[in-house]
Amino acid sequence: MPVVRTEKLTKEYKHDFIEFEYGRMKVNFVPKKTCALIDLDLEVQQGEIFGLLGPNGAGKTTSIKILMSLIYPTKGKAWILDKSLDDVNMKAKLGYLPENPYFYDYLKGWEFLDFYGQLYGLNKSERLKRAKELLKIVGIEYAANLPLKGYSKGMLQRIGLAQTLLNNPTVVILDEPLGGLDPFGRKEMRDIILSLKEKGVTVFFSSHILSDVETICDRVAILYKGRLKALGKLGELLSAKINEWEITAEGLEESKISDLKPHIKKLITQGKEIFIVLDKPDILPTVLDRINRENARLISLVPRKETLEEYFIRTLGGNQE
Amino acid sequence: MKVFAIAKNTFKEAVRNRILYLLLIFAILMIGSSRILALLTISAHERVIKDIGLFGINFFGVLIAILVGIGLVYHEIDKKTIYTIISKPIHRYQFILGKYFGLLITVYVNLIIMTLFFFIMVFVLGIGFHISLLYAIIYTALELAIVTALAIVFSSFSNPTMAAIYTLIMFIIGRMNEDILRFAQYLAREADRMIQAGQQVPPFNKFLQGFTNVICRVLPNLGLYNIRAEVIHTPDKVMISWEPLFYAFTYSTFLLLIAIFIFQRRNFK
Repeated sequence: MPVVRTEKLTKEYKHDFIEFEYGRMKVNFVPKKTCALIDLDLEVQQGEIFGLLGPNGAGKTTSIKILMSLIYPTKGKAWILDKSLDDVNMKAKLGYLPENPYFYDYLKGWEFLDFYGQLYGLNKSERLKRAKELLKIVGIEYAANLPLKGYSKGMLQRIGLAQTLLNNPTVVILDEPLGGLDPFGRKEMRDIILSLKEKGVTVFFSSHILSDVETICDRVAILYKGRLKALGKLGELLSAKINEWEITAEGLEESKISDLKPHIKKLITQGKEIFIVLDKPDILPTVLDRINRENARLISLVPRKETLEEYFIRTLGGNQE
Repeated sequence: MKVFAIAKNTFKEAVRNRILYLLLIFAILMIGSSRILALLTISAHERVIKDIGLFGINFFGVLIAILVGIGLVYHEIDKKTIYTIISKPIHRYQFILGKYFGLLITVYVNLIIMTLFFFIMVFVLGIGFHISLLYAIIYTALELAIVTALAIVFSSFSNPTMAAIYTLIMFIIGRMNEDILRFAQYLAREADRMIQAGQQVPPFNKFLQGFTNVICRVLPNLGLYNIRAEVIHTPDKVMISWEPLFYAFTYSTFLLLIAIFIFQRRNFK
């Protein structure tokens, strides 16, 4: 049973008759519409970490907001845990963290979690217990008695994650969870997401920080201008063939391989070391032979496959008009 | 339970609003200054003190309901705090009810503070306390329940400035409701007179009749709650009746249903 399922999900925004764009008034005599999302079909399976990727304005946040019933789709349907989105009880098993979360800044850390616990219908002792546990998990125990007004962006993201997990959810939906975090925070967030997966929680999240996605996602969907461009396991999406060979050698003079230069993609000399990038494998034996002949030392030879970033540029690059 | 949690949080939020304290200080200053104003009159000291006191409580109660209420729903959407609330297992109507009761609690707490101050003044100045004063306050409380609901309705779809203007206009029309009704009755009498005299009733008269009748029936009749004149001049004749209580209850429910209807359909972009 898919945990999250969408069918031809479409969202159109109608423009107002009078609009203000960059401080200038614009009158739309002809009714204008913008499609934020077009015919999205997705299925997220139980227990997987699913990444929703795409550049800004691709429709990631729109899809998530529809799933959270913050906005209503113009067309199409969606189900979470096999329940339709207007089923309020289904939300008791759901956790959601919005992009750049804003909270009531006058509440203290624990008061905030206590209030949200009440919305989940938890009783008082449960709420206090969960609040304490979660503040520890997200690493801001020390700020429990501080009003949220004094929290940094990273701390807000952390307490935001804590409220997401208050109800021990079976599905967690995170909108740009890694945005606004420093490298340490990003790593911790990744670890928390992975630990959720271990507990069997399905994680559905959007991101445009590709290097993070690559390391944790089971499957990804790539959105561009509201349309689904690709869907599948990362290994399947990224081309399996080796694109480049990176060779690092010591003690090889540049002049000794000058005749091969037209076939070399990149050549960098740094002190005694030389760094060669080849995009065609046919001259690899020749280069290795030269290294051997010149009594130079081969330090490393790395075959490189396509990264998600390169895939992004390859598939979406032609559409950037 | 969930409505109560939101109401409690709304109250916490509202008591942080500086406007609230400013209004409360002005209310207390106004009620307090009634003693000085009374000195300007020749013999009606008591009446002036009661009149200004009751007026002050009513006026500032309404201002608090409007100025604190208008931003409550708007700010939740504007600051995006609503995202994490609506995504919890709560219905949107529970959110609106929570906001309404939170605001109402805030308004009533302030009403109680102003009333206590007024009653203390009445005792200290040795003016005879009459139960009708309490009736006037109860009627104000009922009126405030409607005004608070008005503020919530307008806050659910427009920005604070517009919501304040709409609510204030509705309040003023509501207070004039009985005058508008009298005007409608006058128009009807005029039309009758014209018919009897064999004259043609101008279409504008018919239109105005219909218009004023609709306004009277659809917009709130807040004149019902203004018993200040009776309390001051004929306190012994003031009776409290169930009708205003029933009216406040049904009208507020009607307004909240509108607010819920609007809020249910909103997209939080």
